[in-house]
Amino acid sequence: MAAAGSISADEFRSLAEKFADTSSKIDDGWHLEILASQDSVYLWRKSILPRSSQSNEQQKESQKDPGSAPPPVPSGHVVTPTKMSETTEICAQLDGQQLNVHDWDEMEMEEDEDEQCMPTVLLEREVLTYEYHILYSESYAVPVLYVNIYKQDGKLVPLDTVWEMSPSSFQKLLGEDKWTILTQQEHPLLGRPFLQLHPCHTGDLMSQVLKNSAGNIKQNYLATWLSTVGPMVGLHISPNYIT
Amino acid sequence: MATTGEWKGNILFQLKRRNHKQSEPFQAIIQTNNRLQQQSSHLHSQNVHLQVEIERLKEENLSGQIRGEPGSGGHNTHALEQKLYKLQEELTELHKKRGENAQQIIDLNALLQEKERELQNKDNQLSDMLANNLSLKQEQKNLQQSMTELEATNQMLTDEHQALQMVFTALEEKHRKLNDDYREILDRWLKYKAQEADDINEQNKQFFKHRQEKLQKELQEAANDKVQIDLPDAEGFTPGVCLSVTIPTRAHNVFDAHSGEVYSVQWNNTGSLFATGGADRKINLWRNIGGSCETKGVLLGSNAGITSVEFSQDDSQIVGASNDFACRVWAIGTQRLQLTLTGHSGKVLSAKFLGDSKVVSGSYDRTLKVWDLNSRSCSKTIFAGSSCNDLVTLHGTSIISGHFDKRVRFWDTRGADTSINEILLEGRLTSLCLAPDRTQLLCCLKEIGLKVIDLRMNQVSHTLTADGFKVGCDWSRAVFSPDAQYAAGGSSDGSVYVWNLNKSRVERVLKEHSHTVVACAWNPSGTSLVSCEKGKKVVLWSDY
Amino acid sequence: MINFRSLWFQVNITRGGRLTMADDREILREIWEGKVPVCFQLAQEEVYTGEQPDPFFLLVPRLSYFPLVTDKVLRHMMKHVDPEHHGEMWLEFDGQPLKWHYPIGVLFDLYGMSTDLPWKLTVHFQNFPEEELLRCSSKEVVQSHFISVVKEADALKHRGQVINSMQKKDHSTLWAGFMNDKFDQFWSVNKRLMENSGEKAFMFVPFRIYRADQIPVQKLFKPCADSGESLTLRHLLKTAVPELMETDALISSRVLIQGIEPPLDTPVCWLSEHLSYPDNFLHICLMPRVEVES
Repeated sequence: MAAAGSISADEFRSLAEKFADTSSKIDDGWHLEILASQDSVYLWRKSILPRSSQSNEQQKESQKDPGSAPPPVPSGHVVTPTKMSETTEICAQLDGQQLNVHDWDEMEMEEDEDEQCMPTVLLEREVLTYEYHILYSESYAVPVLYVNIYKQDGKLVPLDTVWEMSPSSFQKLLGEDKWTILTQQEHPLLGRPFLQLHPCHTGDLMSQVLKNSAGNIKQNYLATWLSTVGPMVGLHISPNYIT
Repeated sequence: MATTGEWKGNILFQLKRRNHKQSEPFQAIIQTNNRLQQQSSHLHSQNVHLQVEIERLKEENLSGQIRGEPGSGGHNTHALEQKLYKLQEELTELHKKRGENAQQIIDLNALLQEKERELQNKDNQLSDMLANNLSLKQEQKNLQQSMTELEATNQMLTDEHQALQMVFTALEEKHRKLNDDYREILDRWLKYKAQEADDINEQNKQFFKHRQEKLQKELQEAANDKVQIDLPDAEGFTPGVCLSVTIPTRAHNVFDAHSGEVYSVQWNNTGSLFATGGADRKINLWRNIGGSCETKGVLLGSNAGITSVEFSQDDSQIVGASNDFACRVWAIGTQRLQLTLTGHSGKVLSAKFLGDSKVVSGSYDRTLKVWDLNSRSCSKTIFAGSSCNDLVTLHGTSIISGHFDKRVRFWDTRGADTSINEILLEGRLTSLCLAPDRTQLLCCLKEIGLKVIDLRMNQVSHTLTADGFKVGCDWSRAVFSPDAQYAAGGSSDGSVYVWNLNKSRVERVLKEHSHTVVACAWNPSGTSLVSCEKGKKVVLWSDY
Repeated sequence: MINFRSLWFQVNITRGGRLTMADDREILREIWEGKVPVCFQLAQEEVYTGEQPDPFFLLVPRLSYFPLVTDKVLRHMMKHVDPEHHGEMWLEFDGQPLKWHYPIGVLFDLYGMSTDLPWKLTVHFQNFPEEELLRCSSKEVVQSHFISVVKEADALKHRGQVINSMQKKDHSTLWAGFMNDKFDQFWSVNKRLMENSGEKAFMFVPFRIYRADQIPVQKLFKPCADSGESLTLRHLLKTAVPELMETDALISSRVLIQGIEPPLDTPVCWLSEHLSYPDNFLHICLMPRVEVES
């Protein structure tokens, strides 16, 4: 009998399948990966998002003045970062264009040309690749979110920077216990380094959430959990996942 | 299957072997290696240091050699060079000196200029000072002049002051002398006055004696003569019998009776005239003729205000009490002062005839005194215990007195001193009035109002009060009407209140006075009422 | 020498089942003392100064992690690399980057068991293989990793109840005891994590099985069968790596824990309590048997 707030491996598998179904319907890029050799499944998604180094400040400003339109930017592949709520849309758009690594190379080349005419704009904005993995931890009996963020040169964004990029609402939490919340760990299925959102509090968190919504038990488990912790690493979940 | 011991032992053995194999052999070697490495690194750094040192020394050495090289070029040249060098030095020295001198000259020049400038400055200052000095001298002269003027003025003023002082002294002397004269004259005047009083008393005595003698003679003559006797005409001697009392409705006559407050008012027994006593030390007699009051005479002799007046039974005499501690008796016919009764040590508030030949007086000295008019002396002193504001007499022997201590006391002059009876009321007594039938006593109480005591019961039978009615002073007098059906009293609001005793309520309020009403008196005929006030006025009230 | 050891072993065996706690403690002590001789050498291509620096020798504790013991090596090697082009230090053995987040003993058992001693490692400062190794910028990273593994172990053993009931101070004591080689200090806290009786009995045994070139295997494994029978190392292997048991592969494999080959009928529970690393995990290495040693 699993503790409140946790799920079994089978439950995870069925939730993950449902999640992948929904994703394919709304086309936002989540894939279900089945590892027969290790008898495991995991969900993953790669999204390419523009990111400004002052994303936090800009975000605050736009919160202060919600009516203001995003500043005009010359058309191109560079998308102006705006409110976080809009980032999801942008992400969906980009995913809709089915950008893959190949597209990415082309884009980079085009940008190099653009750089001639508007170098400053480009310097301030970076395009990052977010790779999210959702795994099941048997030890904690909860899902665990892994993420790697790559720069344009293919290098990983260091942990310090990821902490800084996290929205201001998480900064206080990170300030106190960042070493117990988000650190680099080995991906248990791939053996590669990934940033891991520590699963030790997920059970407590979800038992609180599930207690409050006794009705549809665990039906929206993944979406609820991701929409709570995801924003810390720039992951936003479409409301379509909530049924 | 292995037992517990076996696998455990096995494990322990393997572990020991592991450590023995992997760790122990290397411990010493690695330690030594580490130490050697450390040493080597230390030596290396030392070596590098030394190498640097050597390089430095080499460098130094080389430069030393270069400097040391040029050294041998012939002694002669050397000497000449030496000399040249010396001369050069000397030359330099001289140049230096010249330079110094030139510098000195420049310096001195500069100094000179400086001094000249200073001198110029000083000159300027001097001329400034001189001008300043001149102006100051002028000023001093001016000031001296003004000082002389002021001194002259001062002298003049001093002289004037002295003269005035002298005048003042002379005037003071004159003033003193005049004062002395005045005192002397006053003394003389007083002496004459006393003499005059004695003379008047003597004259009166003489006059009476003379009249008595004359009367006796006439009587003798009359006795001798056979006279036809006519029935005397009753006119002017009708006893004050009251037929009917009417309550006055209007002020019949208003007039100034005295030049100050009017303290008392009283009708004679026939009701033909009334007397008023005032703060102006006079008693005025008035007759009411046809709507106006005429003065019938003025009784003089008192040295202070008259507090009460009363006519004798036969209307031939009038007794007045005075604030000068005395009572006086005047004759109506002659309007002369007959007797001055002194002996009280306080103001006398009330004096009444007691029988035919006695007067009783009540005073602030808390005594009542009975005076014998024949012997002209005090025949009895009653210690009442409280100052007496008013008294009435009864049957020629009894006295009823009203006191400051809220008590009404009853005395019998025939017996001992003690009061026969006393009644305690709620307020200070200011006046008493006996009803003609002598069964009721009207008392006026300060701050309370009027009370009627039934003398047969010795208790209060009526209490008379009214809104607005307020007893004005310690000698306010309230009276019964002649038929004792009504009572009248003056109030501090200037009104006269008339109560109906039967109904025990106010019958009428008479308004005319503008000051506190002090006393009232009801005409024995019952047809009119007279009242007096703290102003100068007396009002005669009647209903026609 | 070996004979003497064997003799001692024999004496102990004769005492039979009367082995006491002192023996358990002795085993813990021996494990704690385990060290590996290592020879560090700077990668040839990264030598910046003219001469190849001397190799650096160290006797490193098996239970420790490389970033905790290589300060001296770093200082020694830094003098010889390009000051403009150097990043985080990383180690490599025979072409294989070494994951610092595995205990040194695990790395040695996995890669160095069959080489000559001392174990020769290559030191690198360039071309950090970030797709293979975790970054380790400070000792804080090691501590955070260590504590998180301890947490996971307790989640398996006690549903995390013991570790969560501890205060931050206890975590620090545990870490400090481990880092400063203070056996008693470490065990004063660790004994609570190793509590295995009554309500605190282990639910699952935290273990990982390593094989060269493979992802480590980690599964849920109860120390006792439903029948109450204590399960042994053999059972564990059968569950975790069934393919190994199907064939005769086991015979050609060495099962190494802490550098030794415990008998397969050793109870897993006891192994977990005594042969676990300080991170509370039983790290098991499977090696192909090479007929070098007898």
